[in-house]
Amino acid sequence: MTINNMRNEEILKIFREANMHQSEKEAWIKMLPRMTEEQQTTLFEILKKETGALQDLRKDSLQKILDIVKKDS
Amino acid sequence: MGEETPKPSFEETLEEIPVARRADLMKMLLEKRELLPIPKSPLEIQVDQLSNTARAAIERIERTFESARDAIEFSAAEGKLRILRDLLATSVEILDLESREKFLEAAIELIPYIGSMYAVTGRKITFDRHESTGLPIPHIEKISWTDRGIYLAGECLISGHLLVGIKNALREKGLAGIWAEIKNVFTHHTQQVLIARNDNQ
Repeated sequence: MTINNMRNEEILKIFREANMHQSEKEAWIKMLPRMTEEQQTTLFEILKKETGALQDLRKDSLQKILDIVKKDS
Repeated sequence: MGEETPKPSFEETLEEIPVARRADLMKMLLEKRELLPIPKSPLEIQVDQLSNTARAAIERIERTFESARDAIEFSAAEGKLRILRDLLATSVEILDLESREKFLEAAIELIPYIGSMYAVTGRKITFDRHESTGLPIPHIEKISWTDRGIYLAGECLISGHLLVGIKNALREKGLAGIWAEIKNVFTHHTQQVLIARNDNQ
């Protein structure tokens, strides 16, 4: 899916959840108008993938810790 | 009079907005702080009530988590760097060294990207020289949050690279040399303005 086919809500969600500081988000937003559609699409794919991977990693790690706590008590 | 075409809905209108203009929309939203990251609450565990084995196992999970997180962030940073490298390449296309004006325009285009790139990705590109071949080998080096802040601040105030350039020019040419260069530029510009004015008269 290219960025032009993405709804504003999707774009905002990706940015909101992206693993970046507010100032970094602003820096990327400043550069967006200079980027081609392909570059914008790639950027959003990278952000989406990174966010998803970090969320999964966090969830798995927390679950493992919870299992250890449960077993130990 | 012909029939009026029905107005598109608000959402349809949004879909038609070109991406470049949608960036303005996002900037507006950023100003309203709607894009602030959602805070993640840490897991609350009474660690002091756990056995040593359990504590050690949790510490191992934390170390594995940190290492995997760094790998994910590094991979994403590489992707972001590739985009920024392409942006740089696009900017370089307008370089024409035969024209001082075009060179300056290109420099102005290039400067904001470099500092932003370092601030955004937290990585900078450094070069080492290969021992036998002497060829430069690029490396991606992690930079501290302080340095990222400096780069970002530098983008807002004055490019850090411009300052470095000035420092290098001072070292290489000295103040007198730079002054001579500046005079050349201004003389060149003044002559152009004068010639244009004379032509119009």
